[in-house]
This record gives sequence, structure tokens and C-alpha cells, in this order.
Amino acid sequence: MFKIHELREIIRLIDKSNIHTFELEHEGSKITLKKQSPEKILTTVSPQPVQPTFSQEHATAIAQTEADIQQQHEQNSKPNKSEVENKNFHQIKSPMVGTFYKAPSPDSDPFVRVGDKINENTVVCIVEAMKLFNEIEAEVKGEIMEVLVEDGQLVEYGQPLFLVKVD
Amino acid sequence: MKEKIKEIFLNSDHRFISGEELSKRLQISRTAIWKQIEGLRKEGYKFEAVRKKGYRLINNPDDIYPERIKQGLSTKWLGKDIVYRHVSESTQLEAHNLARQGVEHGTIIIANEQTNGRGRLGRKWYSEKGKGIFMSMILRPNFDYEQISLITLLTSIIIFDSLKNVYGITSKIKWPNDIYIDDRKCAGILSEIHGEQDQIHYLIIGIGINTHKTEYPVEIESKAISIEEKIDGSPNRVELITEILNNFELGYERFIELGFTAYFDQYNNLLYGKEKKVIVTNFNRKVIGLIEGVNQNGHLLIKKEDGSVKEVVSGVVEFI
Repeated sequence: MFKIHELREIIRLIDKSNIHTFELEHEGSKITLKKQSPEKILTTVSPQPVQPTFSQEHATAIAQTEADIQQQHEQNSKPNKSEVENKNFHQIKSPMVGTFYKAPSPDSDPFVRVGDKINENTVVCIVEAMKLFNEIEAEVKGEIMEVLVEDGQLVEYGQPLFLVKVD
Repeated sequence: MKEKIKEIFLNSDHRFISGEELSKRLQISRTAIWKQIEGLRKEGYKFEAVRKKGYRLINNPDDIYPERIKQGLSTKWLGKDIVYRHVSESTQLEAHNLARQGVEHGTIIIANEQTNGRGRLGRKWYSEKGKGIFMSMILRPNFDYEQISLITLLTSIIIFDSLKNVYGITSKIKWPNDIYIDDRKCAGILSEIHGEQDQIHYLIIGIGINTHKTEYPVEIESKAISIEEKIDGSPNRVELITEILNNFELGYERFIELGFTAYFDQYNNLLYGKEKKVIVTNFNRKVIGLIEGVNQNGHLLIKKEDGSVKEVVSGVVEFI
């Protein structure tokens, strides 16, 4: 049976590859991944991975993930005005489930604001879970165009946090 | 050279060593020896100098010099490099600097005193000279983000085990990772990662433990406890630090191999306040209910009055 983090790893690897269809059978579980277009991997995980061999907990976790993916899919498939505008912006995404902090402490200024110039090493926010504080670097050089989440908001794995106009 | 002199004194069994002997052994002038000793004094090592007898390191069994800690270590990679500060602003802050400079996985920084010890989100950690363990571990993990937050829970189990092994103290873990003895906090853990979306550059785990009895500031007086209050005699910090490091390395490797599953039952058994009524606050969200335990993700499960169970990822737990 596959663990969630294994699935994520597989998705991540496939995402980076040129592979369009991927199937894996292992100990009675089967997963099928298809990419409709190279950029849209996250939206196209097939529901195949849920097999009766999964424990209740894993099944729930996967169902949850799928719900998130579904949601993203819906968001992606409804091109609204801002999405069209955002198409060329880089998204800084959350690497994990947790609470979003815009500043290092309640009394401090935010790490970044809209209009701030950033580089690859600029810390843009903290995502925290179970008292593990994760300082996230921008990874790109450019300008913050939009902050997509509120201070204190719970964020999901892969959820976009910032839009950056890349230099 | 300074390291060599330090080593000679730490192995000198508290006896005097003459300047002449040192200058012969190390092939440097006596003036150079004197300069080195002055340098060590600035680092916090205390020397007694007596004419015609030489220098003697004033040895206090509780001094947390790296050489002493290393003597008790059975680790492969943890604590191979230990940076010691007599006074540090914050070991966590210094650890970030060291990590950015590229120090090895497993490097430790430890201080006898912190002038600005850090807790979560800019809070302070009370760090009086000689009264606690103030230590940060620099790790370069190669597992993914999903697992990494569970390492904070693992660390609290390691501290529980170490307190049990060294002092026979039975503590409890307040979710996610505070160590409680008799309903008061004895140790806290602050973990910080620096990284990109799919790559962790480094992880720093800061550990603060109240070891020696002291008068705590009013605001934490009724909430804090030290090890010394629970044992006969005085705690030896070197012994506890080496125990924690030895246990942590083993635990970390087991965690990589087996995941949190290997610790799930133990953690739930050690959880403080089970079945007790709490309010968990995270920004403007509040959850009220009874603590059920944690799930496989380490998230706290709160059973609300209507019978539903809420899963909590982050927040401050208060008993009501």
C-alpha cells in the first residue's frame, strides 16, 4: 500500500518528467497518473489509488487530498479574470499543511508586502505546524504582486501563497 | 593551538601545569601560552595561576565544556562538532548563522547563559547563567516536509526518555512538545526549518531545559519547574546533554527508517492532559473540547461537546 508521502513523491517526480501516463502496481494497490498537458499534473491524479487494501486512515487522508486536488481542479478549470492576469506570475506555494504567518512575531513588520522586490533567498513567510516553524524562501527574483492568504490562515500542501512577477 | 591547550587542561585531572611544561609540549613560547590562556579565559574557562606551580583549570563538574560532553558520546554524527559559548544571545540565532555558513549535519551549539533566549514567535526563554541547558542542533535532513514536523514530537519523546534514564523522573508531554513535570513546564523545544518548496536547507531544533533551582520571573513562577526540585542533590548537565544526544541520534535514525508509527503509541501514552477539557487557540480560531490524543500525523484530536472530533495542526493548548 502506498503512503501519502510516497504518492506525493511519485507525483512530484512525474510532474518534473516528460512522462504522460504512469502506472504502478505494488502489493495489491494500483495507481495511475495521467498528464493531460505537461503543466497540469496536480489536477489529473486519477481516483485509482484508493484500493480496498488501504486502511481507513489512509483512505481518509487520500480522500482529503483528492478533495483538495478536486478543488484546485475546479479553480483551475474556471478561468476567471484574475487568473488570466496571473498566468505569467510565479506562485510561491506552501510546502506543508500548517498556519501561515506573515511576520516573525506578532509585533514585527511582515516579511514582505505587495510591491516588495525579492530575490531567491528572501524569506517571505513562515508556515507552522506542531511548533515547527518553516521559513520559506522565495526561490525566484522579482516583485511581490499579491499575497493570496491572510495572516493566521490554515494552508494546505501546495496551496499558492504569493504571486511573484519574475524579473 | 588553543584547542590543544584546552585539551591538556581538561585531561589534567585538576592539577597544576607549569608554563615551562606547556611550552615544551607545544613548542611555543611562554608568552604565547599566556596569550592562549587569556583567550580561554575570555571564552569563560576559569584558570588559577600560582607562581612556580603554573596554571590550573578550575573544574566544576557541571561545566558544560564540549570536551566533557564528547567523552560520553557514542554517536556517529551528532555532536561531532560542538560550539560552546559562555554567553550567547541565543543559541538558536547562532545556529542559523552557523547553518548558513555550511556547518555539518549534527553540529551542536550550546551556551551556559543566553541574554535573549528565544521561544516561539518572538517569545523569551528564561536562560539564567548555569541554571539550564540551552542548546540548538543543526540538522540537514533528507526526508520530506510531511514527515519533518513530526520530528518535534520525536524530540519530546527523546527528552522524556533521557530524564527517565538519568534521573528516574517521569514527565509528560504537553502537545506538541513541551515537557511537563507535576503540571509545570520543565523543557521546551523550538524547531525551525529554512527551505524552499521542495527542499529543506536545514533544520534547527532548539532545546531549553530548566535544570537548576532558581527564582523564576513572576510571570512564569507558577508554571516552571526545574529538575533539581525533583531529585536529591544537584543535576549534572553534562550527563543529561550526552544522554539526550545519544538518544536523539538513535531516535532520528529509527524515525527515518520506520516513521512516526514507531513512536505513535508511546507518544499517546505520554500525552499530558488526556480527557481533560482544553481550549486551543490559533489566531482567531478556538476549539473547545476534550483531548483525545494525536493521530498518525501528530495532529491533536479534540472531541467537541457535540461529539465531533476536530483535528488541530497548530495552536496553543490551555486547560480550562
